[in-house]
Amino acid sequence: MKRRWSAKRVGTTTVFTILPLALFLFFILFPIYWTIVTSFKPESEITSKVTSYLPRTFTLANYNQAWNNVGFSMFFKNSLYIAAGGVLLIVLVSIMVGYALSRFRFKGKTAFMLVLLCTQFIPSAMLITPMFIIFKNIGLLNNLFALVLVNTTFQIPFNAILMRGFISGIDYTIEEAAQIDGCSRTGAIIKVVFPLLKPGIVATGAFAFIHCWNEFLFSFMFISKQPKFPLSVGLKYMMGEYAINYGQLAAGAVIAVVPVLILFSYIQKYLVGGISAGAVKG
Amino acid sequence: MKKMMATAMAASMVLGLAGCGGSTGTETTAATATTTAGNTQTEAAAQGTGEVITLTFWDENAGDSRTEYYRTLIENFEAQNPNIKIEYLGLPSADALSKYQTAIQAGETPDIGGINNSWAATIVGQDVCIPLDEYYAKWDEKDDMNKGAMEVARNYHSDGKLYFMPTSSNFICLWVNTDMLKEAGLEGRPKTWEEFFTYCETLTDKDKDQYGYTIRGGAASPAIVVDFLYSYSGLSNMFDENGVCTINDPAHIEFANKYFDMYGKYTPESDITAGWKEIAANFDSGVCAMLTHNLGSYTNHVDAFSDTSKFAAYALPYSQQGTYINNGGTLTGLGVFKTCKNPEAAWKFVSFMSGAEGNSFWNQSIGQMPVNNAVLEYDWINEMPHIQTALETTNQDNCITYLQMSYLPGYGSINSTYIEPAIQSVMSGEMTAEELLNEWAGYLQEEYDNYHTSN
Repeated sequence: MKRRWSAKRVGTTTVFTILPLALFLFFILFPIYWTIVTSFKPESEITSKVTSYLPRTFTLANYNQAWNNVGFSMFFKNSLYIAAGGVLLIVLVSIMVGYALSRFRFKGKTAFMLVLLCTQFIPSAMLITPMFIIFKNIGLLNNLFALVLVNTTFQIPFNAILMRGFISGIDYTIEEAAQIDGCSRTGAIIKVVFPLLKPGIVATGAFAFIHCWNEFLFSFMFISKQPKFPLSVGLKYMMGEYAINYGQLAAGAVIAVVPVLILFSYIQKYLVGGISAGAVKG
Repeated sequence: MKKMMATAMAASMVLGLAGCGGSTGTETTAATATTTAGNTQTEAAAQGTGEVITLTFWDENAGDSRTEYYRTLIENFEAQNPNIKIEYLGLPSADALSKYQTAIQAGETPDIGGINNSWAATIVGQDVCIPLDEYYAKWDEKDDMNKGAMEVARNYHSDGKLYFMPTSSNFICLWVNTDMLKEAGLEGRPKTWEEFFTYCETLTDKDKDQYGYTIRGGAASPAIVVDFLYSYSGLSNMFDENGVCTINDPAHIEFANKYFDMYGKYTPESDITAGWKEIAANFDSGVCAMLTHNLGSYTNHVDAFSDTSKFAAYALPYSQQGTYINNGGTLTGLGVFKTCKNPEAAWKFVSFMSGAEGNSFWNQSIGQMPVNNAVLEYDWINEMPHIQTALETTNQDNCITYLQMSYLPGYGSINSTYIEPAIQSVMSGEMTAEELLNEWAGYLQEEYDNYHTSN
C-alpha cells in the first residue's frame, strides 16, 4: 500500500502549490509591511539611500503629527460616522429588498432585478454633478449624512442581490412552520430568518463597511469644509505637489487600515461561510 | 406589528428629512484659525456695520506644511481685518481641478480660489471669475508687481482682463547632488546641453545603483519636455510669426532623440511611470544625481539632505544660440469667483497675498519667487541660493522668456490626455521622438487655430 505522502508528492505540492502561494502572499503583504515600518521611521531615514527593513530609529512622532496636527483624529471620526450610518442603512434596506426578491412573486420582478444589475454599469463619476445639484438644492452639502445617503444608494443594488442569494438559501418551510405556529410574517423573519442570516448580514455589512470607509470621490466633491473630510480625503490631502511627508502618510494609512483589520478579525468566521453560501444558491 | 413597522418607516423618513437643511452631522472643531460658519452666501455683506464677513478660500495645492503657512497668513490677515474671516479648505493638488470643475457646474464655487497656471485658462475661460481690474487700478502696490507676471495673468482670458492675481512665480531649474558631482570629478553647472548629456553619462554607475538623471515619465511629463526643447533650440515662441507650431522643429527632434535615448541608460527604468513623488524620491535618496523641477521643491530637498551644501539649484544649460530660454509662465495665484457676495473683502485678501507682507512670508516659506518686486529687497532673498540663481539668470541680457501656451483652454488636457501616454510610448520604444513631436504639433495647431478663429 502506498504511503499517502510520498517524497514525490510532497515535492510536487511544494512546487506547484506552496511556493506560488508563498510568492503571492509575499507580494500582497510586503507593501503593508513596508507601510507599517515606514510609519515608525523618521523622515531622514525614509529618504536615505540605505534601505532599512526595520527602523534604525524607532519613532512615534509620525503618528502624533498625523493624529494631532494634520487632523486625522477629525478625519477618523468622520469616517466612522459615514461607515456606521452607511452600514446600518445598507444592511437594513438590502435585507428588505433581498427578502422581497427571494420570497415574493410580483409583476416586473425580473425587470426590476435587471434594472438593479444595470445600475452597476453606470460609472459613479458621471453622477457627481447631478447629485451635487440635488444635494445643494435640499441643503445637504457639507453634510456627512449626504455621504451616508450616497454610499447607501450605490451599495444597495449589489448588496440586495447578494442578500437575495443568502435568503434563498434559507428554506422557506422553516418560516412557514413558524407562521403556522402563530408568528406573523414579520415575526417569522425576525425570529427565524435573521438568526440564520447572520453570515449573510456579516458579509453584506463587511462589503458595505469597506466601501464606505474607502470612498473618496463623493466625499471629496460634496464636502468643502476641512473638518468634515473623511480619512480617504485626508490621506490624499497629504500628497502635495511639491512635498510629501512619507512618514506621516504611512502613519495615516495605518490609522485608516486598523479599524478594518479589527473588524475583520472579529467577523472572519462568518465571512467565509457567508460569501460561499450566498454565491452558490441564487 | 404592521403598525409598528409603519411607524418605524415613517420615523426613519422623518429623520432623513431632518438631516437636510443646514449643517448637522459630526460637529468637530478644527484646530485651525478658521471658523465653521454656515453657508457664506447667506452672510450679510456690508463692511463697517460690524458684521463679520466669512469668505471661503480653497488652496489648490495643500499639504501639511503649506497649510500651516496659510494658517499663519490667515491669522495675520484677520488680525488686520477683524471683520473678515477666511475659511480655509485644502485640496489635494492632483484633484483640485476636478473639484473646481464640479463646483463650477453646480454653481458652488468658493469666494476665493487658488489657481495653478497649468489649468488657469481652463477655469478663467469659463467666465466664472470676476475681473479684478477696477480693484487693481486703485491698489497702492500695483506698481511693485512684476510686469511679466501681470502680463501672463491677463493672457489667461482672451479679453485681456485681470481674472487671476499672481502670488508666486516659479523657475525651472536643475537640482543637483553636489557631493555626487564632486565624486565624479565634475564641477559647476553644465553650460551647454552637450555638457548636460555628458554629466548624465559620467554620473551613472549602475553597479552602485547610481544614475545621472531622472526623467519624469509619469504625470505632468510634457511640461518639462517643452521647457527642455525650447531651452535647447533657443526658439522663444511655441508658434512662429505665421502661427505655425514650432514644437516639431528639427532642432527639437534632434534634442528629443538624445533626451529619451538616456532612458534606462543614464536614468532608472522605473522613470517610465515616474511622477513628481518618484523623481523627487530618486533625487532625495541619492539614487539620481540630477533632477529637473522648479524652486517649489526646495524645502523637500532641505528635509531630505539636512544640509543645504549637499545640493544646489543650477539654471538649465544655454541654448544652441547661446541664449538662456526661461519659461515665464509658471505662476500660481488667486481668483475671485462670481459666486462671491463680498468681492471687496475678497480683494483685500487677494491683495494681502500679493502685497509685500503676505507675498514675502508666503514665498519665503515655500521657497519660490515673489511676484512683488518690493520683496526682492528683503534680506531673506539673499539667504536663498536657489532664488538667487533664478534672479541672476533671469536678469541676464541674453535671457529670453518664452511662454507655454497655457492660455489655450485645451492645452492642459492635450498634454494629459495625449502627450503623457505618447511620451511613455517613446520611452518604451513603441514610438519615435519625431512621431511624438509631430503628433503634439498637430494637436496644438488645431487648438491654436480654433482659439484664434473664435476670439
